[in-house]
Amino acid sequence: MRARAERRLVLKRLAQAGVALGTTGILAALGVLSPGRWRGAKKPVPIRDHAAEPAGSGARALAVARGADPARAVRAAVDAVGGIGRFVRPGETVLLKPNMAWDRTPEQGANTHPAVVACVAALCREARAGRVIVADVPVHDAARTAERSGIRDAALAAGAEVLYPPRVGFTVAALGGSVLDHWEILSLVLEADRVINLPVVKDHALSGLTCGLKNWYGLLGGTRARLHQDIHLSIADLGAAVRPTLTVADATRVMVRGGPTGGRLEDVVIMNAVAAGTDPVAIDAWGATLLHMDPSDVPYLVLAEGRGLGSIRAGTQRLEEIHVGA
Amino acid sequence: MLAPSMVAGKGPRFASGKTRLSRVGVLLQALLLAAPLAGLAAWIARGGFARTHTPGPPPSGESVPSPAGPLTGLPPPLADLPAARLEERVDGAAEYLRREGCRRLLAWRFEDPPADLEVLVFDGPEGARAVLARDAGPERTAGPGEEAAVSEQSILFRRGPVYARLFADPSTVIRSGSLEPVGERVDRALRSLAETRP
Repeated sequence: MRARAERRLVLKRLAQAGVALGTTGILAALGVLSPGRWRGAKKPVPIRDHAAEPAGSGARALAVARGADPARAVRAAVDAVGGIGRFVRPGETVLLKPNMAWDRTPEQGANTHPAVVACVAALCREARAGRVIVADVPVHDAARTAERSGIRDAALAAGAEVLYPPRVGFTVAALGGSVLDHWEILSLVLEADRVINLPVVKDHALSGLTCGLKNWYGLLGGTRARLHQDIHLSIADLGAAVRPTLTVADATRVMVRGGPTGGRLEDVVIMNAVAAGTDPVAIDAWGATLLHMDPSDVPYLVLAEGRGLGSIRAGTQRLEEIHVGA
Repeated sequence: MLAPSMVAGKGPRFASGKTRLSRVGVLLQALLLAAPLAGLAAWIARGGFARTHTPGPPPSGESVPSPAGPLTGLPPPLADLPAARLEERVDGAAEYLRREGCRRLLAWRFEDPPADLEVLVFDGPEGARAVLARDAGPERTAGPGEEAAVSEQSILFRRGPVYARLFADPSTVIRSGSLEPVGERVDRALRSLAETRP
């Protein structure tokens, strides 16, 4: 009698275990148990507007400086748009976002020139920023890219931290765009008080050019393949979601062909130019002119201007350039 | 008032110490039986079978080197990517390359002389020709493959549906002409790949 009852109990337990396993299996098959699903299910976090306050009198919206010394050119351009004190306050955390995506040397012009990154980092230090962080999501091997681009050593020497995945994480952010509603973005963007965009101007196989607005791709995690299928809309979406405090565009060495990866020195034209400004559309329009493109023919620029992110004309009108000597 | 069964101290609901022990034993048995099943279910749910056949990328983002196969004379590649994963190497250029019919990308890094090599395999020669033309412009020079654009720092060439780009590290002073033997060696390795049907 007792043996029968125990057998029944064993069978009952086994049936319970079977039901539990079956349920688990069904849930797993439906993807309910995948960690990604729950990460994605978190409510996307809004990105704060990092845009700088309007300039006082005398400060330009866009300044271009030319000279063989990138650091001097950067200082001159930033001074002309109001000086670093306009953009960075003591104690603030400043995120610098260069293009540090490619396992290439500075001569190849695929990444932001290390001297440009170092100079902006030094300026932030002079403004007594609490933390200055240089970060990107490289396409190539991250550690090697940081080293070979020259950015890691230059930024560290200037008093900045250099971070890239997996040493930094991502947060699902609300982008509110027509293509990009929400996406994983470097958490540092959400944590920083100021975000300074440090793109390099260069050719791009798909979008025509890459400069400041396209540089935000480097903030994204996840699979980027989907973004490139509608690249102009994606760039405009990102531009609307991430508003930089300041953009300093590096056109010291401009890759005019073979972008974005490049590699040939013949495709790099030494222009010794740096632009600084608060209008991301104007900066990109200026970059387009360096590649002999009409900015009005670049769909993402037209889209960005249409969304009120800036003015193409401001980047193409006759600019009084600052020359900082040899 | 107490129920008769309680008073009597009998019945399954009010088990004696011995019965409780046997119940614990039954539970342990069930757990022992269920544990391996649960482990197996978890392994399957986490893609155990899938991983056996389709390895994912390592944390660095580079692909796992696959056997070079027909590329005799070259070391295992640093990356060997199908069309769907070109972003892992060329990011924004991936969609453009796919539109031109690129179906495979392989990458190497050489130490002597320091140089980077990318090999793009297209559905046909047209795609390879178009991408070479975009990268190098219209001018051609003597060099490996069926058409080439050669300089001291770079060699771009096409052989059939295969397009190769070889860049010497500009930060390293290389002997003049030291890149050309590398280009020839790559071309020899690519002949068999170029002849492979898609």
